[in-house]
Amino acid sequence: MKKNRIKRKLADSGIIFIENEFSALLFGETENWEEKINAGCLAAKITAKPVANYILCRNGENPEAPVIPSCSDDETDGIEYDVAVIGGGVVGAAVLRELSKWNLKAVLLEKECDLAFHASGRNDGMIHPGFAAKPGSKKAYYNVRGNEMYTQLTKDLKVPFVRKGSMILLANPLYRLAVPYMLRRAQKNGVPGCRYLSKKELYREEPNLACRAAGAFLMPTSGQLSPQKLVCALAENAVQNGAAVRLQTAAVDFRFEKNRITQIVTNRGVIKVRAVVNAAGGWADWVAARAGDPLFTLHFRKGEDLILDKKSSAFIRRIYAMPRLSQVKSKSKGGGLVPTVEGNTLVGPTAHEVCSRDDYSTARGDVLELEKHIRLNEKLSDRQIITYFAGIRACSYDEDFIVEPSKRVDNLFHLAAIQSPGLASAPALAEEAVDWVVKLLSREEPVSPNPSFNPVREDKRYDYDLMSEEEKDAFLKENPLYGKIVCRCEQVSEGEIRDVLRSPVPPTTLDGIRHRARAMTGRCHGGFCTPKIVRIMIDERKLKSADIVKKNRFSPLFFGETKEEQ
Amino acid sequence: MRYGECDVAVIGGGPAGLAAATAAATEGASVCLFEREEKTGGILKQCIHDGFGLIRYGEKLSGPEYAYREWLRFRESGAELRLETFMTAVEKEGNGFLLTLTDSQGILKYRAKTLVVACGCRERTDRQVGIHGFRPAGIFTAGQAQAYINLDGRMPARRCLILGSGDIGLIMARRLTLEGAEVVGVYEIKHEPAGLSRNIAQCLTDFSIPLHLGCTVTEVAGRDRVEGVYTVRVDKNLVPIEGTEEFVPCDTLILSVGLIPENDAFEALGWEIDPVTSGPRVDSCGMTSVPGVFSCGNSLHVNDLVDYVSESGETAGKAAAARCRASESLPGRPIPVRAGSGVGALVPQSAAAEGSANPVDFFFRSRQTLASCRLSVTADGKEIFSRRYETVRPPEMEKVTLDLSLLPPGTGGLLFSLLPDECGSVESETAGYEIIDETVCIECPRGCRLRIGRRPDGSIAVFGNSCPKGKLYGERETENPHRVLTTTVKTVFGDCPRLAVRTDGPIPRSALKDAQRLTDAVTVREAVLPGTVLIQNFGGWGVNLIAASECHP
Ligand SMILES: Cc1cc2nc3c(=O)[nH]c(=O)nc-3n(C[C@H](O)[C@H](O)[C@H](O)COP(=O)(O)OP(=O)(O)OC[C@H]3O[C@@H](n4cnc5c(N)ncnc54)[C@H](O)[C@@H]3O)c2cc1C
Ligand SMILES: Cc1cc2nc3c(=O)[nH]c(=O)nc-3n(C[C@H](O)[C@H](O)[C@H](O)COP(=O)(O)OP(=O)(O)OC[C@H]3O[C@@H](n4cnc5c(N)ncnc54)[C@H](O)[C@@H]3O)c2cc1C
Ligand code: SF4
Repeated sequence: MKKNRIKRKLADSGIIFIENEFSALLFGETENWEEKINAGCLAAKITAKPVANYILCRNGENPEAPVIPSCSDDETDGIEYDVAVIGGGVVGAAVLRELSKWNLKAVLLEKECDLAFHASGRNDGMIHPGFAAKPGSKKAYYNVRGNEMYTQLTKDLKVPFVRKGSMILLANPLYRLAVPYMLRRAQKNGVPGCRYLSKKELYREEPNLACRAAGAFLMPTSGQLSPQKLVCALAENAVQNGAAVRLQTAAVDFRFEKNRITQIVTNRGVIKVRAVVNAAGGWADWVAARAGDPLFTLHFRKGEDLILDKKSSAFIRRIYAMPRLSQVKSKSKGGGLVPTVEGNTLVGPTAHEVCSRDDYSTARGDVLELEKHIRLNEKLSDRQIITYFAGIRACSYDEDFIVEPSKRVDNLFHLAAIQSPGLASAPALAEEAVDWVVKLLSREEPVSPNPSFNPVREDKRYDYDLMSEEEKDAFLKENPLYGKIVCRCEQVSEGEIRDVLRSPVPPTTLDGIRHRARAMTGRCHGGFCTPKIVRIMIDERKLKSADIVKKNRFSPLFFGETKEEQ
Repeated sequence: MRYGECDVAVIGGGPAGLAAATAAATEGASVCLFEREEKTGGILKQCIHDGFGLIRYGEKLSGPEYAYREWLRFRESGAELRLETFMTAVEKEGNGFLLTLTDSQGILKYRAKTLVVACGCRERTDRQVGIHGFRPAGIFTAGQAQAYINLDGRMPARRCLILGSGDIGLIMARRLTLEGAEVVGVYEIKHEPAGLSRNIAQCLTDFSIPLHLGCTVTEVAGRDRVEGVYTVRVDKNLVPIEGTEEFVPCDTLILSVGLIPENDAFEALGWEIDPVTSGPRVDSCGMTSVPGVFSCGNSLHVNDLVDYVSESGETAGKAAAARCRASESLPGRPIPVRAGSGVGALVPQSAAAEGSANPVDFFFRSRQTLASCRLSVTADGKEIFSRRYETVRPPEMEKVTLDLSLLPPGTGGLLFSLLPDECGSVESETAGYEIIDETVCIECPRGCRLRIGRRPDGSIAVFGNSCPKGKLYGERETENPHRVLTTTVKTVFGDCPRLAVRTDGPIPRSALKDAQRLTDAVTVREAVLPGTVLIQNFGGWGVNLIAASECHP
């Protein structure tokens, strides 16, 4: 009955709802983006199929097509690959690494000039426990599996990771009644170790809590890591094991034979492929449509975070938040305090619908909204804010992940609408996709495991941080440049910067160095170290001042040199 | 692992650390100075403009020259120097301290009886003043821009807007202009400038760069590189006024929005921090609330004069050495020092009692600009000192020296207040003169506000100067203003691609840009030291172009 009411409501506002074999389609016009999204969400309630929302906004709010990199050459022209992964976020990178375990020629195509440029470089880095997702959803399934995989994965990839555990603070004693339901949900999703913390236990663990909580629900498997580091590490390890990463290469079009994609047209030539994985994040719907399978469309939810000075680490142990009852049903978890592996504290994220796939600008109001979380802890204050950032989650209308082979194209697999907890789920999602790819390709000829696959990525800084002082001393004698500290806030050495510049997927931008080495991220925000890093980069790569860029070719730091004809 | 031991360990080799180490070693202590960079001098290495050292050397030196002189003194003192050595941890150990340091040969453990912290300061960033928008290239702190231009010869801007009228921002406005960039304006949120009057005069007024007071930047436009900024006017309470937003096209935003003392590595020691200065609380010897740990220079509180920085280093270094000698003799109870009405930052926050350094230098800043007022210092309610000021301004740190040996034993506390001056001002001195110009004396950092008056007979008089130099300056300023050119020239050496240079005397202000163009064509091909004459009778102005820093292959 509800179904009919919704259908009528949509019809009344002039919106056409039709279902075809694969999707539910929406056509018509709305005044603005918000109304369009509302219509999409309504539609999702009455169909089990993905929603493809083709409503036009009269005010012109319509998300853009991707910006195709302006460089164009034939670098990739004619190269044959077994598998192409589209998208260099955490999902694409995890898929590439998973593929590199097999004797397959795999390539990752990323349109930006570095990895983790979009959602995967702009999130909280939390490895969620898998509690929040609805039991039975794909989110719940892959999140719990992914979370489990992170212990071994981060050890192999040498990415610092800690399971700090996260807590839902119970705002008043009545909320305790919800604990049995929460435990049941945890059990259904398969989240291990959850338990109730009494008020006493809670305050013993977190003596700086400023709010009056009646207790807490603890999920001990929650962890945190640097998402940028992880994405780069996944891709580097894949490259070491024979896979390829092609940056500034966008998948623009596809060529078919019958129902199979045989060629991908990029701005740098046409490559030949036998299977394709769509991990294009915020553009996954665009890529799907290009690839002949307009199964779904995405909508976009922006989130902002504040970053607090490392000093905050002394005052907070676990990840926590105090959600209001009204938030429990809402789509976002409302944000909270997230102590990071490096010692900073993230505050956030917020959540609001936007009509853009990549508008990462921040605004004052959104940031102010987050200060309520800071007040949860009496030792934290807005004076400790060192910076803030925004990211965008790409969502489907039923808010679940899309993890499935295309029904229209025989050799295409979608990993789309991977919103939060996409980072936590990525390793499990990758397994799923690669499992399918291997089966598919095995039908043509047997696919064998890569005999020389080495899961371990080398990272001297990671090793260094785990060394005893004697070992450090010996290490520095062998690696003297590691004793030359360049970034004083994060204690990053010249040796580390040079190693990053020589890594298997080397950065070409200052942001790329920042993501991999954390230099320029501290409280001085690169004030002291950026000039030094610029010098190292120029020396290492034999560049000129004008070649140094922040994020891409259009963001040069300098207009040449002084005393030069300009 | 290497181990070392010394009486006094000094962390940071800027002017404060150099002076502290020199003083401690001169007192006979064994001293080790640790500096992170490959050269001492701290931030002075990049401050190529002149005006340093008037008090200490009686000369207007550039930053690198001042640093060089301090280094020469240090070299004579016998203190040990460890460059490219980074302190990673510090802990208390017995009566002393254990430092853990890293350099390119490994880990270093140093035991020291006392510590002098001289780590300088860092700059506030765009994020700390709430600027929003994308995060494009083209946003720099003034210090960063200074390093790029002066040390590396890289040009970060073509058309830039400077936010904040702090001194480094003002200095950079001039540097950028001389190097060929266009500075569209300096925007300051407060209703009065944050920098020294002398810098406003010689960096902005000289180059007709507008200063917008009560204006700030809220947002940066541009995704990849800055394309412009949104400015807005603010009301008395610094709240943006709706409808006053303006878009200013530019490719660079430079921030000069304040300095923060750098002490984070030492917080583990548990010292008390003064929320006003953001540095540790110290007594008149520079000793913090952790016995044996001293602080000086910009890590104590942000100074506008390097001469005072060196002084504070000397005080701390001397006291640190004395403490190593005096076994266990704890000084008497220190006298607390408090800021009363009108006084903002005040250092030291307490005065060590009997037997310690006397007289004591106090540094204070007013909370707001006050015209004709007086500083009153009371001890337990009784006034012990008073001084009149024509004006006091928050950007200008004032120094007073008090002889505390005259205080009665058991004095409970000192209170510093700024009170309206009852005597009123004497305005009549300009009677009979027509005021034809107002300017700021740039001969010394005091920056007296000069008024130039003319009698009907054409004779000129200067008012407002505090010394004869000011009179001369005022007279020349009305006839033919002169300035020293400070800039850089190219070198053939990869490690120091630019060399700081200056004229050894003032040249006509109108010739500054021509002079800059002449220096652009100069390339230094051999090693030079500060003071080396590069060009005699430079441009025919009767001055020499001299090197202000050193360079060698
Ligand atoms: C504020 C915020 C906080 C979050 N916090 C968490 C968290 O704590 N834990 C968690 O698990 N998740 C979190 N998430 C979600 C998480 O960030 C995402 O789920 C995840 O990063 C998605 O990864 P992805 O690889 O699918 O997408 P992306 O990282 O967006 O990668 C897609 C890539 O594909 C590229 N691309 C697109 N089209 C093309 C094309 N045609 N050709 C070539 N390349 C193309 C894009 O340039 C992009 O780099 C958060 C998200 C936000 C916004
Ligand atoms: C960008 C900038 C520009 C300035 N311009 C002017 C100006 O034009 N005129 C003026 O009068 N004043 C200026 N100042 C103020 C100026 O800093 C002081 O006058 C003076 O240089 C401060 O001296 P200092 O020794 O306290 O600090 P600094 O000169 O900053 O020296 C501190 C030293 O400590 C070292 N150090 C820090 N941490 C460690 C560690 N953990 N281990 C080892 N070594 C460490 C640093 O490398 C540095 O060499 C400026 C300040 C800044 C930040
Ligand atoms: S008049 Fe004398 S005291 Fe005043 S600024 Fe000029 S030189 Fe300094």
